[in-house]
Amino acid sequence: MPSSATASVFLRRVRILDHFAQLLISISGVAVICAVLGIGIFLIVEIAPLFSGAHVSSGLAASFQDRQTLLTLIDEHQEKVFVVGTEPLAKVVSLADTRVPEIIPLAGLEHQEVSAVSRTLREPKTAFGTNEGMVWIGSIQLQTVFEGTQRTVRVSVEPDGIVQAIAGYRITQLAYREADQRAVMAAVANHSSLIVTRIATQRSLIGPSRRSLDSINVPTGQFGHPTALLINRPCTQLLAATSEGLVVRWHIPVEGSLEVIETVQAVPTGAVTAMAYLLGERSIAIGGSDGSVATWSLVRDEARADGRQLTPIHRFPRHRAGVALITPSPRDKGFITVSSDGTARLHYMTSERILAEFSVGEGPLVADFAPKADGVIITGSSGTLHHWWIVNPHPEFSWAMLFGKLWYEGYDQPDYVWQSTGGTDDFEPKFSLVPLIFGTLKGTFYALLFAVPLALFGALYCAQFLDKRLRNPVKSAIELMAALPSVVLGFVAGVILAPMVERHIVAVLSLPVVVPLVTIGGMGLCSSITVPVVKAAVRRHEFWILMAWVVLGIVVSVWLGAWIEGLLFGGDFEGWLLRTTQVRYDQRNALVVGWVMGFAVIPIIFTICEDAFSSVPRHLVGASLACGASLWQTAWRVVLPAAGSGVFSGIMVGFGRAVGETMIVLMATGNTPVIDWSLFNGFRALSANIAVEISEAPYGSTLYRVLFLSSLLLLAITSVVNTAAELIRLRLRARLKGL
Amino acid sequence: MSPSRWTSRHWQQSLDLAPVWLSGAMLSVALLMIVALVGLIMGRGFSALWPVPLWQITLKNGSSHLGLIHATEFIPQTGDSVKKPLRRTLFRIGNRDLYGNDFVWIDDDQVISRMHPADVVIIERLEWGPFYGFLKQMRIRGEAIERQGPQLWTVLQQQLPRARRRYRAIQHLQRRTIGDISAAMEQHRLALRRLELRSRLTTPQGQAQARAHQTAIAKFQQQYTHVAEQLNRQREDDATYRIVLTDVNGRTKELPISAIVRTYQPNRLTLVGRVGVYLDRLREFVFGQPREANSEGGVAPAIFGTVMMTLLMSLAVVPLGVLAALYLHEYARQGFLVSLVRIAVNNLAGVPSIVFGVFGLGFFCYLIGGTIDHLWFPEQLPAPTFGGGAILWASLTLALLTVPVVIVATEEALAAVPDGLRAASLACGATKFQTICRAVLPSALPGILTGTILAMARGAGEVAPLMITGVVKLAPNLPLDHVPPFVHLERKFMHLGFHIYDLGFQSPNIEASKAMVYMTALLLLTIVVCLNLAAMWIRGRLRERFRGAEV
Repeated sequence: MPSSATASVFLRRVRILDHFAQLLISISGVAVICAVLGIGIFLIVEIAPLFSGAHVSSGLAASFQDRQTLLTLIDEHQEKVFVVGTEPLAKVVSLADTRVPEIIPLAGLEHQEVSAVSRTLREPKTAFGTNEGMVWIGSIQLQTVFEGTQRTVRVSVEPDGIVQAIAGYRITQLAYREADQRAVMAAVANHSSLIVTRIATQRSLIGPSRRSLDSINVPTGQFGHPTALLINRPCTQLLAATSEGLVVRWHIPVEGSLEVIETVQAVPTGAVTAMAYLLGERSIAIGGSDGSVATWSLVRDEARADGRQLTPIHRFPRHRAGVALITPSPRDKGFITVSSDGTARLHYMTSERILAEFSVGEGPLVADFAPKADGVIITGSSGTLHHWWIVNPHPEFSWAMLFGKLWYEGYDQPDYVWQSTGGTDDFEPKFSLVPLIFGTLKGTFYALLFAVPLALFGALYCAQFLDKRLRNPVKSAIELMAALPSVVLGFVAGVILAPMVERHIVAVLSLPVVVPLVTIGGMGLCSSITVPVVKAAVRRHEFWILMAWVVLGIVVSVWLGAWIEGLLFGGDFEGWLLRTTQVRYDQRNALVVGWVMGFAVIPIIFTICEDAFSSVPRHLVGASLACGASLWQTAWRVVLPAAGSGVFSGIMVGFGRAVGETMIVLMATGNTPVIDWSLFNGFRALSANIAVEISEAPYGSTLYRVLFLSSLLLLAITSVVNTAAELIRLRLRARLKGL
Repeated sequence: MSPSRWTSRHWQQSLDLAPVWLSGAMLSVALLMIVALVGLIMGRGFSALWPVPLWQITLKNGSSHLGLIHATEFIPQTGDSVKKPLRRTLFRIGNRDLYGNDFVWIDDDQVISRMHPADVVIIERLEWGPFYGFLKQMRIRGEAIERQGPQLWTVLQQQLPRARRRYRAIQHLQRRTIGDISAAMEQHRLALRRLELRSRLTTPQGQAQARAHQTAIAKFQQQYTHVAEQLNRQREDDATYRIVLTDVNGRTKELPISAIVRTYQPNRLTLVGRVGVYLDRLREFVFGQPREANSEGGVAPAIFGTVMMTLLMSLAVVPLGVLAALYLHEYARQGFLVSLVRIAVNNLAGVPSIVFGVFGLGFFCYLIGGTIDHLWFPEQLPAPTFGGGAILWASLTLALLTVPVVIVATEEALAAVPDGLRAASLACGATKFQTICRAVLPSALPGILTGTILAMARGAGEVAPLMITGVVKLAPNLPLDHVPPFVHLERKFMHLGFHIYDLGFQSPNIEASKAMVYMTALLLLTIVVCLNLAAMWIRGRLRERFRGAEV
């Protein structure tokens, strides 16, 4: 026997161990539960940056003596600025230290004054016009080069040549563009006359290439003075904005005079003071002397000569003063407008939002975005260069983007579109969740349409009428059904069932009518047999006989389906469908998904319903039968209402499962994000969309965060539905206990 | 009773019972669907590997084909012509390297004759899928073997084991020896990079270490050259053992013997022979490596990945789930808060699995994995070590997904333990923890086991969260191998469920990979169903035991 001392040591150790265990279990228990609940919080944290908007913070300011800056360019790391003023030379200024500019002369323009400039977004080609009507054409680029770990900015100025546009006149506006075969230059002389010059270059094998110029005067009298010029990428159209508020669009033929395609009144009262192509050149941002800002696109219109018409797509809040400057972003469909009172706004075209507003403090001359759109330089009328850093990780984000109709470039009207990636650099991602939510609801609807009757009535039969010996095996089989991996179901749906359904579509559609008829008819026939032995056997094996009739019903409908298809649809249901209702039959469609997802949902609804039905007290049933109600009347009027909330909660849990099901919809729908209720079309569900896209989404990108948002949405929907179902079930349990 | 009255009463009775029969029909439909689905997968899966006879068919246009019947269907009829429906047959004609296509549809009315040529052979190869044709010649070290027909076949059978040995030796050199050398070199390179990153190259000690690494790299480089030469010699030698085959139209194809996986003469096989081929294919399926973009060979790495992932998941989920359930049921004060938590845990079981996947990707892979990479593996950046998909993250994600299953099952088991047991233990002077350890947990053990097995079944069958947290179509290395530290939790892995998805939907040659998909689906189904049956069985026994205890 241990002494009392060792016993007390032992007891103390036991007590300490007990406390320690209690502490450990409590901490880890709480930790597990917190971790589990932390999922939602983590998702919210990942989404939060979407809403942060754009931040513009002031960088450096540098002053130049030249009060007529015409062109500024800034490099990728926002260290050096390339400036051209009225003198025919370029200064390369370091932003950190503005005292020692590097000077590059523009050869050939000596003793002239630079008066106009033309440069296109993301293209190196640049043209300078002078007060004597000459135009310098060349390429200007700011490149970052690494020598070891040392980073330097290399400025390259490569002249192509000098062209005479309008001898002796001052060029006040200039546009120059090169395409494969031709180059076009448009110049405004002395604020009034518009001269378009077509430049054809003949390359010969020997000697220098010859250039031929063909200048024509374009009459603009009735439109007002040109205030801005744009030439499109293939050099086939010229756009001019005028002092009368018009935008005129000409066709530039290879030879002969220009033809006006259309004129639109872009600014109702006042002049168009700024005009620029946005990234991709499918939209034009236009600012007026009345402070209005709008973007215009070419929208399909058969009445026009080229089948398209300039249409105002997006309008933005007015500036208090006239718009002096528009600078497009080189990364997205955003742009900066600066009014003559120095207010600068960062816009995003598609969402029509003002992402940021800041003040230059004076009227602006020129501006340039940094190549990654993470900074901007604006030169004021005093010759001061202001620099801002821009943090704008999700420019395209807005609630309207997720849930509203937006008018995207290239579309005829506003629409809900999901299209996350495109082939080109200037592609604008389209993140409407509406088609995806629609797809989820469509899949869920068809799945429940199939699953609810089967599960509900199956459970009722199992609980009330089924042979007691069969009850447990049936319940186990249904439980097993719940355990089948959804990837196997998806595979069966996509690879086996979809082609089979396509082949026997009419038979499949006739199943819900034929099988019940055959079963009822068959069972009626069986029960009419009065031979006692057979009658007893029928009663004893009712379920097996029932099942046999169901199988027969399926066989009959397959046979009947082929016959009906031959008779009514000429043997080709799909063709008939397309001809008469314009509905295209997709092999992977909502019918197949509804079927197989219904298969996945049935066991969930069945188990909960069966549980609810069997827990209805037997004395209720007995009382009802004793009062002379038939079996079905008892089941329908007594058992079902008593278990009603259980049934409801089962359906809700089934709904939750169908909403979140991923593999089946991924494998059996074709994943096209369209909004169409048709039974024969596919769709794309939220869950499948996440599975498809998230591995392609760069960490931290808008797509990545939008996918997190859609997961949060799924989490929220299923949580609400499941909690409600659970509460209802708890209430039912309490109520049945009362009975 | 007059006949008409009997009829009307019978009619009335039938009408009363019709809804009952209808609901019975609905239950039957549900059960029939399960039977059909399981039967379909089993039928197609079990028959997928069975060797069937090869047909030689001659068409009206004079061409001949040699192939296996893959499917038949009625030709979809267009127009109003109601003729006798025509059938067509999809033949698998193999010889992808000669024809460019494995399959051909042939209308049955074009066929003049069909027969089973006896001496036709099927050569299953490492590349280009099977070859169906005739054995013409064998060349060993440039000399043709002067045998014909069955004798040549016998010689080939004798040569096959030798070719297999040569192939294995080459594989060993290539994968093991060369792979190990490259891995060692990579280790030294990384060590150098680590020295550089920690700016230790300026210290004399660091320079000495760097020199040691460089000499080691040079040494391994030498070894590599040596082994590569040896490998080349062996390959050249191996390539001199060749067979010449002809297809049904007389086109010849030469092939090194070591590229043969299996040969048999399908039209000469006895039943025993067929069973032999079937078992051999089954063995390859379970233990072999995948070939030809996973559409042939085996699924051993996928089985391994599935099992390892499930075990890792159980390792994480069981302690966590049991602790949480113990807290909820034994320690926490029962009240509003605890029932709220219980509802939340219940809810979590209904959260879509893809949401867990997204969480796992963001939290485990990018946040935790990214942090680990920055702290401990900076020398490999920007290539992620733990910062991408990994078996560890996939397992933890699934653990989170299945933890509600374990919590609910454990709580149920704890609730089923009679309070008398606890009271008795406490009355004897045991502390609460002793009571739990010695009395409650042992009684609840089968329940916990049930929960664990159900969680494993759920985990093994889940795909959606895995495909974004670490499952790949083809993993070059298993997460467990002979290279220290032996367990590579940062590696990506293969998984049976994803294998099905990938083969069924991403495969360039879906028809040819169907056999593999059916087999894989059957395997996965078997695993999951067995786990579930085991859980049901344990639960059934548990119920009986408690029923006994109550009496």
